[in-house]
Amino acid sequence: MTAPTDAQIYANVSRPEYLVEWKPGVSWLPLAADDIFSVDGALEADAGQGLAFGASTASDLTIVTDDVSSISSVTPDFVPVRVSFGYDGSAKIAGGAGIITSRARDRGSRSLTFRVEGWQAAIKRQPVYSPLFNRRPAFTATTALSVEDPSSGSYVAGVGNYILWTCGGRPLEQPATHSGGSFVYSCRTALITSPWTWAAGADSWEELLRLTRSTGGQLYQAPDGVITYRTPLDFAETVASPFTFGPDVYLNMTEDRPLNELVRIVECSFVQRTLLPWQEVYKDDTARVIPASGTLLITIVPQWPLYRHGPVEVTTVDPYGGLVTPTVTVSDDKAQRIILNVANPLTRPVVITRIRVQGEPVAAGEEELVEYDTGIGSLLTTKLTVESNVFIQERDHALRLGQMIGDFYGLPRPVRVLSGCPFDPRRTLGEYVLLTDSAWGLSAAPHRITSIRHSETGAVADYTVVDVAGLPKRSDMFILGDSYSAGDVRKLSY
Amino acid sequence: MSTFTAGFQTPPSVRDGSPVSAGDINLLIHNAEVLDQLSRLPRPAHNFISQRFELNDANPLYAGWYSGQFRAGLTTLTIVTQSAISGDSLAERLRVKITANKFDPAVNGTTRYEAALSAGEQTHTITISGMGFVDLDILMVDIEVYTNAVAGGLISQNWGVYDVSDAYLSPFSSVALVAGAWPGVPSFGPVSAANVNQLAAAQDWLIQRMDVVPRPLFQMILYHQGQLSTGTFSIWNGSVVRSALHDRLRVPVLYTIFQTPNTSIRIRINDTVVDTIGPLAVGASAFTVRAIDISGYAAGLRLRVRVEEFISTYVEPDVRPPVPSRFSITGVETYTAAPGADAPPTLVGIGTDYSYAAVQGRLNGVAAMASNAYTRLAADTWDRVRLFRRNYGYDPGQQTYYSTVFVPLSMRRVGAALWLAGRGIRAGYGGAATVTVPGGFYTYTYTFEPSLLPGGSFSSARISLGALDGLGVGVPYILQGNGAEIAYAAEELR
Repeated sequence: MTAPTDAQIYANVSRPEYLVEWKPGVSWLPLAADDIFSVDGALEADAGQGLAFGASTASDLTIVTDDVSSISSVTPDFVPVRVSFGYDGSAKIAGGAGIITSRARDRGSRSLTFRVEGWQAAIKRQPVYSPLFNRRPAFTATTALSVEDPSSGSYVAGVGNYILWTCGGRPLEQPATHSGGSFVYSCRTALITSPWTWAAGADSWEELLRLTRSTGGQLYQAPDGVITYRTPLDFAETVASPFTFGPDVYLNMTEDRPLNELVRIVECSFVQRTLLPWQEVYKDDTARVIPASGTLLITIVPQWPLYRHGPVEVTTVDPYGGLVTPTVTVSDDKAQRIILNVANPLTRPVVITRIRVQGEPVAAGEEELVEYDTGIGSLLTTKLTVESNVFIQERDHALRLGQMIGDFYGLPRPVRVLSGCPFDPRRTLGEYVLLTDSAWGLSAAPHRITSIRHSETGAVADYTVVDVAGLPKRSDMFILGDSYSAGDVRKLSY
Repeated sequence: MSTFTAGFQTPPSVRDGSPVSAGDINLLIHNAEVLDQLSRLPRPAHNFISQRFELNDANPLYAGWYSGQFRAGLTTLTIVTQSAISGDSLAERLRVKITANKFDPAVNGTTRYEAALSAGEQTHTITISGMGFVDLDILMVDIEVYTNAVAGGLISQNWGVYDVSDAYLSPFSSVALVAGAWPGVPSFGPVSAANVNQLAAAQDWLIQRMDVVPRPLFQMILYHQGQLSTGTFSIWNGSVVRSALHDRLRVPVLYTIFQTPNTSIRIRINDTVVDTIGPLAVGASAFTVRAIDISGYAAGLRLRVRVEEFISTYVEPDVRPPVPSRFSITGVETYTAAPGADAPPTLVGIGTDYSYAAVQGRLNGVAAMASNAYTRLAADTWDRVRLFRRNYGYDPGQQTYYSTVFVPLSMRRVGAALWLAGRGIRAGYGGAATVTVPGGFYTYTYTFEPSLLPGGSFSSARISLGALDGLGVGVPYILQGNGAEIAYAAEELR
């Protein structure tokens, strides 16, 4: 079967269909359609205007089922769920995925309601520690050949890819790897590179968003469940035969252009990071007893991320006298966490009296502040303060980010909500579309879909689109590695 | 785009398929300018002492107390002596003690080298690579002249004169860099990730290469007291090397002639007078910076420099007691008369149209500047680092006095950090004022006087200069403190 057609979607009486599957074990299992009362969902690349970098993103589904069905016997905690939508006679297209994060029951209505959060809910629950990456884009383009597995030994992808893979993601462009993961991701190479990047065991989704904000860009879950990183130059990129929204598609259109979001000054702080020379980076004099012939697991958390370090010195004494040489095995070695296994070679307890590590740390300097004047608006305009970000480490980085912010959302753009549309599962988040409405003087105006909210189990949907006319785009630029003639003229990027 | 005011920033790392970034090109241009200027930096003179001691002052005679920082890869400490040997068969010997990280002058160092002292210039090559020093150790180097020919009191009337006319660590070209070997510069040709990244790697290599070369502060002489008799009297002794990079010798002299007419200040190179200030009249007072052409000397030649007071005819003043002249030498260095700068490519604009040839031209311009900077690093300026001249008082009173007349000075802050060892040390910069201490020595106050090292125990620290209020790049500063003991002070570029 093929994807839904316009005739199927926009028929006077359409016949939408859906498929809900979950994965309580190792395989995806369909839920019987008869057991499902409703499926509603929302996918948002960003709140507000829709072009902000790395701001709040959401991918939610609410599935209401029959409480007395066999579904209720399954413990649903964090079970993966995916939903696909289509029309009678068409193939079904992925329309949402995630994990169950809550379950509510209503005895009166016999309903069992699952809230399914996007993969961000799974990612945030998995702290990731990475090595320290120097001068490497935080996100690197995923391709059929890109090395994405951090354990491969030839890993050259970004720390964002590292986090995504470690949390169970697999690159969209490498289908053979998908069965080994729980979700799929796709990245473009970030436009700005921080000198130093690393993951330090925090909320991994927040870490990803921090990286996204520092590079300018957006990270969101597409309707097909793919965690997607895109640069701002992708926002207005044209496509062949774009879909056109017109009055024949939507029942109503509302528009908002909040002038209080005009940005004249972008204020951005940065903290320079410096690779310090070889020095003592960790010392711990806590006494630790290792039982006879026993092993002790010790986690070292240095103050600063380490570029490299020497052997971990473990001073161990025999209570009966003399130094002991334990067997020290490093089981995990990351920028800001080293896990040791220290084995006692003696048949009586010994005491660790000191753990010491020497190495080269990357230390933070003082916080500095720069302001970028967007030149937009008048005295009535405002200052936007970029949230402090550990990955903004140099003055120039801060200024480039300031200009990017000024260009992409310093000037409020009309945000239009197209409501009462038939749900078109072919539409995707971040998609370049055209908008035509003669009453508002719009004729094939370029827009970008920034949210999709569907309801009535795939029957209707609201689409939020933002006007992207005049935004810089990738196809205007020279591309690294492409061939050009000396006289070819293009623009330069951020 | 931004106005560049900061120093070197991390060069970009890019991938094929990404847009060519104006920000990255501008950053490369900016870095090229920084590297160009850093590679031409003046070089402070070797600093011996204001007045030469003779062996009748003590046995052993402290001919020089110095310090330097060991870096893994250094092999040699070179000490050059210039001696007029006693005519009394004293069989003078040179003894060099080197001790790591023992900053208390009371610590008697470990003798690492001994040799019979010969007349004229004598080079002492001391292999330090096998002495167990580790990277970043701060070496205290005590140079002594002694004789075994005289037991008990010193009775000779025909003492020699013993100058340490140079003392340096080398070769800094052998210090291992994180960046590895020189990557060379690419030719654009195609604007590809490989070429851009090679250029970025070249810039990274250059800054690392220059960064491993510390810049010890100059031991400034403040208010050196002149003489009250006819004759020639030493004010300052030291040496420079006529580097291939530098063709001028800068000698800044501050003088005040109180009551001694017929006074001149003469500057000698290798015992020949090359510059004369005066004769000066009573009441003359000025700050003059002498620029002496040394281009006629062969590159690589060591030039012994002496600044002296010459009173052709001393006239007893009417006022009693007579007041001698005062002289300050505030930083002797070699530099280039017309340092110039490679003309950097013009900055580019984000979102602006350029021809491919124009982009190639910008990047080739950056590559040429990097290549030129690399060539300049072949000069010995970047291979040998002269030791920091410490103060040495025989007792606390003398130390207190010396701390007011021998004051380490950074003629201009170029580094990001200061390696410091000692105790009771403050920085001083901004507006300066002289304050007379009743019944004691005069002292100085400055607009900014941040404490750098506490009093009490000796310690060392790497101090981030950027964190000090008001101490921008290019600002001169001194190190001070009542009774401050400064064992080592050198700037580090990053």
